[in-house]
Amino acid sequence: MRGQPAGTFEGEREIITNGQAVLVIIGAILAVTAIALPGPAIEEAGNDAYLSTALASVPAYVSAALFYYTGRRYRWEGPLGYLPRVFGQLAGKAVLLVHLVFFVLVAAAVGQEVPSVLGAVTMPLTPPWVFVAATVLTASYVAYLGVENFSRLAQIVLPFLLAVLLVVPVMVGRFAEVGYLLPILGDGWRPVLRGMAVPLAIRLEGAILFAFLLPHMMSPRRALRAGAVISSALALVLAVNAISVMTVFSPEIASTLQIPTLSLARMIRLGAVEHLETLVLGPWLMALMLKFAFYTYLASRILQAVSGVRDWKALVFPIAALTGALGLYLLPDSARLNASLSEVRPGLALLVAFVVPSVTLAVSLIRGRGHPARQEQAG
Amino acid sequence: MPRTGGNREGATKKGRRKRLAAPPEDAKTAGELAAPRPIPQLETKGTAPLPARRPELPGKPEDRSGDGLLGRLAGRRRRPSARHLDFAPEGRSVGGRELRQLAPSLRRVPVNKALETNRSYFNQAFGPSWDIVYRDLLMGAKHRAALVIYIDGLVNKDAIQEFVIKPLTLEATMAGLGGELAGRNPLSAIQSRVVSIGELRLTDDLAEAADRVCGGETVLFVEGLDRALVMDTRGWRDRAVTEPQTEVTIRGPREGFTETLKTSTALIRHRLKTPRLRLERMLVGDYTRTDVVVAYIEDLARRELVSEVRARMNKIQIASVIESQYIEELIKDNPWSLFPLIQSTEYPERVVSALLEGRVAIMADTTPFALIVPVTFLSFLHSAEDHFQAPVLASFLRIVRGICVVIGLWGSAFYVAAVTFHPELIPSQLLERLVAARRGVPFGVAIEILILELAFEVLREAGVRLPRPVGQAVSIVGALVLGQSAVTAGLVSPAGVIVVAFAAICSLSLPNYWVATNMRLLRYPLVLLGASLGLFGLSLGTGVILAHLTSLRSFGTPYLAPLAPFSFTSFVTDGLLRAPRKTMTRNPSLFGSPTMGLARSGPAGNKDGA
Repeated sequence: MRGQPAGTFEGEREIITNGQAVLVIIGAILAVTAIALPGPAIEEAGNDAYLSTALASVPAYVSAALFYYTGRRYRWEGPLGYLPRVFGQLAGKAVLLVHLVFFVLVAAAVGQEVPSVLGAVTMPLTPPWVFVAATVLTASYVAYLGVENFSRLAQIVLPFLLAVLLVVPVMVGRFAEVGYLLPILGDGWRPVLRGMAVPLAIRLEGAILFAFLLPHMMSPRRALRAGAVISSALALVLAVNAISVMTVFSPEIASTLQIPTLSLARMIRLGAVEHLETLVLGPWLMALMLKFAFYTYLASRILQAVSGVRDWKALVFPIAALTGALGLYLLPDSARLNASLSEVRPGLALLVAFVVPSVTLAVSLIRGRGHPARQEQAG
Repeated sequence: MPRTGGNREGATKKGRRKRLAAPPEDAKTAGELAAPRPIPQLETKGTAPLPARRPELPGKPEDRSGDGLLGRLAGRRRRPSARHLDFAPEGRSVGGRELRQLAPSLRRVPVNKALETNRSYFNQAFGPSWDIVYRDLLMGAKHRAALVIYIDGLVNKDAIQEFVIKPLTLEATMAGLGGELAGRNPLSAIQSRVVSIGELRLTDDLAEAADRVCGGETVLFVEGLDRALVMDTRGWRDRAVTEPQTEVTIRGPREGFTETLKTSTALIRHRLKTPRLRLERMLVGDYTRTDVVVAYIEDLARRELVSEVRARMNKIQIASVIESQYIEELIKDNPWSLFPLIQSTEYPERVVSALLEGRVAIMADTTPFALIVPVTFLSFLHSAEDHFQAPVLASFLRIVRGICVVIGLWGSAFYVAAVTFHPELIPSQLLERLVAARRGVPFGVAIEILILELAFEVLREAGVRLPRPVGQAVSIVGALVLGQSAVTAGLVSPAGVIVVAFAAICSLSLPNYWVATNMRLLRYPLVLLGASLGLFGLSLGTGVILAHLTSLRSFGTPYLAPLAPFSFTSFVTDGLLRAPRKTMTRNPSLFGSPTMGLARSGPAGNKDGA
C-alpha cells in the first residue's frame, strides 16, 4: 500500500527522498568536522590521521545498521515511536530524555562554533551573543518549517559546502609535500585507533540522525544503502581534507591549528583576490545553521513526545533560545569548546549511538513473539 | 492546506445564488400591471444617469444615488459601505454575512407570460438607465407582440437589426410564418427558422435574463410565453490584438491577449487545435459578474490540479473582479510571500506552452493578463522566446538570468558587507580607489547604498507613471544629470552608484517584471544585514530566504522544483537549461504527473513496508 504522497493538496506528510536524507546527514557532520577537524585526529595519529578519519566511518555504519534493523522491526518508526514500545512508557520516555540532552548539548556546542570561528577570523569586536542570537532566530524559523523543507534547503546548500571542501585542497595542491604522509603506519595501529575518538564521536551523531530520519525516508528499505553512501562520502571528503592539511602544513603544525581548513583556504590566491577564507565561511555558516535547526527540531519532537504537548512547533523557539543560552554559559571560549568535543561528546555519542540501540534491539529480540509489533506483523 | 479566498464553508456555484425577495405584490403594483400600456417608442431609454457601478463611497442612509442592481432587486434602500464590499486581507471575503445582506441572493424569478410584467421587472432591476433599450415589435403577419431588451454599447446593433428584428418583423411575414409565430410554441420556429444569431438559448428565469443582458446578450420575450430567448449579440468595441507591452520578444509571434475574453480564448484555440482543450466558464464577482475561463488540456493536466483550481475558484466570494490579480491574490497558496506563486502573462504562446506541460490557465474578461498555475521559481527565468532560439543560446541566457538574480539580490548587500567588515576580500589596488572615492562622502556605506536604492525606485516609478514623452526625459535627467551631480557634489561615491545601478539592471533583466519588482524589496533587509553582521548576516539572510522558498508551494508543486526536490531530467530538459527538442519526448514530471509528489514506498505502520 502506498502512502499519501507528499505534495498533494491535502493531508501532506513529511517525506524526504533518501538522497535528501544523505545530504542532511552529511551536511550535519561536515558542518563541524570541515572546520574543526582533523586537528584532534592529527594530535593522536600523526601523519596517519587520514586513516583515523576514514576508518571512523565503519563503526558509524554499524551503528546506523543497528538503528535500521530496529526500525525495520517496528515498521520503520524512529526512536520516538519504538522506544516507548520496547521499554514501556516511563522508561522509554527516560531514554528519549537522554536523546534530548544529547541533542541540546551538541546544538549548544554547534551554536558556539559560530562566535568561536568568526570572532577569531573576521569579526573580533562583535560580542558572541550577537552571533548566537542571530543563529537562534534563523534556525528557529528553519526548524519550524519542518524536516521536509529543511531537507530541501540542505539539498541546495550542501553541494556548495562539498564543492568548497573538495576545491580548496585542489587549489592548494601546489603547496603539498606528499612526504609528510610517510611513513604509513609507522607507529602501528594504536595511534590510528586513538585518533578515531573525536571523528567517531561526530560520525556517530550522523548515525543518530539517520535513526530519526528513517520514518521520513521515501524508501526506508534502502536506507542502509543510503547509510553506506553517507559513510563512504564522509570518509572520502574528510580523508582528503586531512591529507591536504597535513601535506601543506606538516602534521606537527597542523595539529596546532585551530581551524585547519580555513588556514588552507587562506593560502588561495586568484590573481589579485586574496583572503578567500571569508568566502569559504559562507556555506559553512549555513551548514552550521542547518545543523542547529535540525537538532532543535529533533529536540522539539522529543520533548513533545515526552511531555504530550500538542504541537511541537510551539517548542521550537524556546528550545533554540535555551540551547543558545546554554552554549554561551557552558562553552564561552574555544578551549572549553574543544574540550567538550574531545572529552564529553565521544562518551555521549557512544551511549546514544551504540549502547541504547544495542540494548533496544536486544530487548526487542528477547521480547520476540509476544511483542505487539510482531503480533501486528504476523496479523 | 491551500489558501482560499472567499467563503470558507465552501459555497458551490449553486449556493452562491442569492435569494431575492419577490417583488412586492401590493395593489398599486398590481393595478399598474393590469392596465395595458400602449406600444412604446422603438427605443426607450431612461433619462436618469447610470448609477455608480462600484458603490465605493460610504453611504449615508438618506443617500440613494448609489443603489445598485442587486439592492434594487432586493428592494433595499440602504447603501452599502465600502468596507463591506472590500475584500478582507486574510483572503476571506467579508461577503460571508455582509454580502448576503447587501447583495441579496437572486432567487429564481420565472418569466411571466405578460410582456409588461417582464418589462416591469427589468425597469425595477435596471432603474432609469439610459443605455438599456426596450424594443417592442410585432412578429409575423398575425402581429404577435414581442419585446427585445438589450444594452446599447454592449451589443452589435447591426446584428440585432439585421438578424433579429428584421427577420422577426418583415422576413417572418414574407416567409409566411405568421401562423407558427402566433401558435403555442413560436420559440421553436424563431430559433430554427427566423433568428440568424449563432448562439441561442432559452431561459425561464428573469434573473438569468437580466444577467445575460448585462453581459451583452439580447433577450426576446414573447407575449403569452413563459420562456425567453437569449441571443448572443455581444459586440462592444474592444482593443485590437497588439504586441504585449510587458513581454517583449525578438523572435516569435507578436500577438497578445486583449480585454475581451472571447478574443483571448480564440487566440488559444487558434494555437491549440485540439478538441481536448477545455475552457470552463464561470462567473466571479457579485457586481462585476466577470467571465472567467479555466483552461486546460484534458489528458495532460492532472485531474487533482484541475479539481483544486475549480474548488478554489468556486470558493471565491468577492464584490468585483477588475483585474486578474484579484483572482490571483484569492487563490494563491501564500498571499504574503513576496515571491509570486502564480504566473501572469499577456503572451498566448506562454499560456499554450503551459497548457501543453499539463498546467492550468485562468483567463478573465476585462483584463489581458492570464494566470498560469502551478509555477516554480525557475519558470520566472524562462523567457517566451527561449523555445524559439537554439538550445545552447537559450540555456546560456537562462544561466545569465540566474546570475542576474543573484547579483540583483545580493550585489549591493555584498558590497556593503565587504567594505564594512571584510575589506580583505577586495584587492588592495581596488580598495585604495574605493577609499579615495569615498573620501568626503558624509554617509556610511550602508546609508549611501540605501539612499541610492530608494532613488532608483523613485526614478523607476516616475518613469512608469509619467506620460511617455515626459517620462523619457525625466528618466534621462534623473539618471544622468542627478546621478552625476550627486557624485560631483560628494553626496555619494561613484562605486556606490555603479554597484546599485548594476544590481538594478540585473534585477530588471528578468523576463517577468513583477518578479523582479517584488524581489527588489528583499535587497533592503539584505543590505541591513550586511551592514550589521557582514557576510555572516548575509549567510543567515540567504538561509532565511532559501528556507522560505523551500516552504512555498504552488498548487501542490514545490516552488523550488526541480532544484529542490532535485530532478535531474526536469532540471536539464527545461529547468535551468533547455535541452534540444529531440530529447523533449515526455511532459515534465513537475506538472503533468504525480511523481513530483513523493510517495512513500513503505509508510510507517505498514505491515510489510511495501
